[in-house]
Amino acid sequence: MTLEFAARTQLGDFSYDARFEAGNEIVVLFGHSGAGKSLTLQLIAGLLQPDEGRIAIGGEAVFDAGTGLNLPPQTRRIGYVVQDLALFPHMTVAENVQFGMTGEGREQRLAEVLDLMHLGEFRERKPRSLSGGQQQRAALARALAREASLLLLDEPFSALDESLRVELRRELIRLRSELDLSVIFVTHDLREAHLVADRLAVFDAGRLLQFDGRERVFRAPANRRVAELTGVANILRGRVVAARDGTLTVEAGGASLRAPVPNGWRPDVGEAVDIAIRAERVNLRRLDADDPGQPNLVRGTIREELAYGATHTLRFESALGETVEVEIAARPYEVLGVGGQKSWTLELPPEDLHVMAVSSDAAAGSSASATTA
Amino acid sequence: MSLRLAAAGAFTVAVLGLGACGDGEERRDTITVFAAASLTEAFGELASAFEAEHPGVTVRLSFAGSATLRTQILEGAPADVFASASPDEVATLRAAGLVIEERALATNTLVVATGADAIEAFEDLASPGLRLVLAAEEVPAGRYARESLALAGSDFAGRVLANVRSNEANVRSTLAKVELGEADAAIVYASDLRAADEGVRAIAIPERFQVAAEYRIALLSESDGARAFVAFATSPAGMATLARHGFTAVGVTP
Amino acid sequence: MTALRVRAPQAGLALLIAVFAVFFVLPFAGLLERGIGGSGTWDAITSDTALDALTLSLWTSAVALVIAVVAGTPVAYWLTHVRFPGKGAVEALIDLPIVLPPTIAGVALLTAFGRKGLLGAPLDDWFGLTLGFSTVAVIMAQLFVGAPFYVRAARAGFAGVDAQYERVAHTLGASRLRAFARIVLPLSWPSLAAGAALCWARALGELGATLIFAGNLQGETQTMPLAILSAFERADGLTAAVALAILLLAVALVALAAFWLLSTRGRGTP
Repeated sequence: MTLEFAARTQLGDFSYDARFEAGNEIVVLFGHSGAGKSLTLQLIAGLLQPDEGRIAIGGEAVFDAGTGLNLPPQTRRIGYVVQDLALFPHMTVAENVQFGMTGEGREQRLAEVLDLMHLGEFRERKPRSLSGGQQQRAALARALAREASLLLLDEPFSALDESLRVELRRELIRLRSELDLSVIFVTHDLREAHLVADRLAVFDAGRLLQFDGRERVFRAPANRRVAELTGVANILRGRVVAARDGTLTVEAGGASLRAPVPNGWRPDVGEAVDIAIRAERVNLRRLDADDPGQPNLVRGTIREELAYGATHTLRFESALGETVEVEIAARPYEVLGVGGQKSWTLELPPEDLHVMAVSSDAAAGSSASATTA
Repeated sequence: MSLRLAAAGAFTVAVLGLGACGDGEERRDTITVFAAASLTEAFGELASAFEAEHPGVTVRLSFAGSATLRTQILEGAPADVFASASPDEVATLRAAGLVIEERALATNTLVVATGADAIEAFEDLASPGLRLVLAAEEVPAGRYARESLALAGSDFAGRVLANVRSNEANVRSTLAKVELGEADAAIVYASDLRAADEGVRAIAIPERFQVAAEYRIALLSESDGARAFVAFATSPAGMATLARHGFTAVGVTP
Repeated sequence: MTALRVRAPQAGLALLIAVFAVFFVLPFAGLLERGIGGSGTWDAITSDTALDALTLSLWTSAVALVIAVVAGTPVAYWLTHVRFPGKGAVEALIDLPIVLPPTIAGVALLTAFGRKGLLGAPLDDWFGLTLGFSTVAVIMAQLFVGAPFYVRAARAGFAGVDAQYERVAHTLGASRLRAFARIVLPLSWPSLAAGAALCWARALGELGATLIFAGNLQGETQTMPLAILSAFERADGLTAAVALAILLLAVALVALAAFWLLSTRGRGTP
């Protein structure tokens, strides 16, 4: 592992506790602002010192509360791009990039890094004469020039327009495969997190709620709060009525839903659970007399409709007792004729339902409605 | 000079434009007396007594080295009376046509002031390493001190002057350096020691080396108050006050 | 009527500006008028007194400046980076000589370093070391009144450098010293240069504290301002004083121009 991280600290009212590791991959730290993401990077870089824990980079401990070890930032081999980049304004791009270089062959390495980041023609320019994207690349080049195996990126694309972000994300993914790097990437942008992450660490209020492969986090959030944070529009409260052959039957509102038993956890019959289903996973069907009483089928009436061009978001009042949000692509929307019909049957496919334990912790944080966009 | 005239004009117009205006009436009741630093205590008392005798007249006192005062007056400072520690300063003003009337005021003798045990007699001023302070040559007290040393012989004077650590701007700051212990000795007026700390002793300068400081008082303006003040200073009462402060009063002279 | 209402304040403002400008320009005009017209100006400028005083002023103020920079820079840096109870009081204390009349500074120095002073007395008793009437005292007086200007400007300069730059420099392997030399110093350079110029100008013009603490002896403690004051007391009155003042003015102008060039060059061109 390039990074082993375990830290607990108290900063005024804010308590922080997290543990994860990173190999040769991009780990995205995801969460709202103030969740503890940037703090994590500062702890790794040595700009802040935790109360307890152990941090090792490349197998070597840089902080260990047990032994009192705490290496200063300048001896931790990392490349760190802070959110506001902090390019040294009085230095040229070349001087900035060379700042962290040591040893022989600096000129050649400078040329390589500038080339890699397509900055060759800007090497003698001062940062303020560069565009946002060029500054971003210069900051990245400066961090990369350290030849560190661990790269820390704090919201590196947040200040850029969409087209530049797309380009730079692509560049980051390319770099990762070319340079054999571990990257810890902080973002609060869900789409960005999904795009660049190999593994995803979801932070909330100083706690690491879930650390897992990207798809696992998106398909099987650990609890209601993670589901909310990762954009699951529909989280239904229900009760397990039967568990048989790897399938749970859950009563939610007036409907009966079948869902697979989740990995590593088997709820008891009678236990309250949360069921997550993403808006784009709900199917619409024309009304059929046979539907009522069938599992995973619910009748609903459109109460609100938002057209985003490529997709439509529909909000249904249904027998489930809670509003159900459905996202449907423009083409099926037209083919089905959704615009001319208010009442529909909603199909919640069993394989897209994810059953989660009701944790008191998560319940406390779920005061926000289940319709987080 | 046209530049000066233009500047004066512009400035006056500007100041008047801002609404400021001088009060010509008030000056009649206030007289400004410039006096040598060595007269600080004596003239302070004199002014109080004068004000008590002349209700409605206020005396403003400005003390400094006589040379400083002379230059200030030459440059137009609004003094009504000038009491100088030397006739030379008054002579300069007279040559400039500024003096209406002048009188002898008092004389003063020089002494060596010392706070240290290192020095017992006038001759000790030449001891190598002594920290001596004099009033600057431009100041009457400094001029008299150097004349006095010269009377004791040029060799002696040379050795004493080699001990000088500072040339002070007036006699009072010269004495202060001894009071503060910064200097071992200084040559000042006998009258000054009346106002000095207890820690400071006077060592007399032998009669044959004495240079009598002659104080003169000059009337510089025609105001009645100023004229009355000069008369008061040279009256028997004024003389008594000066004598009380260590000066030798010379009495009324035309 | 409307036109009048608009114009009256404008005229008033114009007059105010004119008076203000005249107030500041006139004294210099007066100096030059007297000095250039007067005979003996050149003799006074080239006299031993003037040259001794000028030499003394230049090298003592330079030494005071060097000490202020060498000692004041770490103090200013430290003050911008630490928090402790009573920090405001420490900062106020450092700023105090700025608002203090120099004569008070002189008396204060005397009570501390004079022969009967807090430190001066033991120094004299034990080592026979006295500071009064020495060139060292001149430099101390200049340092006391000048250094706060430098420290104040340096503090402002350091505070103006985003702390993020230093943190990033550390993560790029730079030690505290290297981060300071390569990042903080270049970025705060204009403030430091301005503070140094002010400190030096203040040291060069120091009169009150020097007069009280160091005395007035040609070649040893008689700096230019003291020489000007002494000249003022001579029988020829203003001529010598004016000549010396013009000389000091010219030297100060040249030095400030040099400082200004240095600081703008240090800031760099985009």
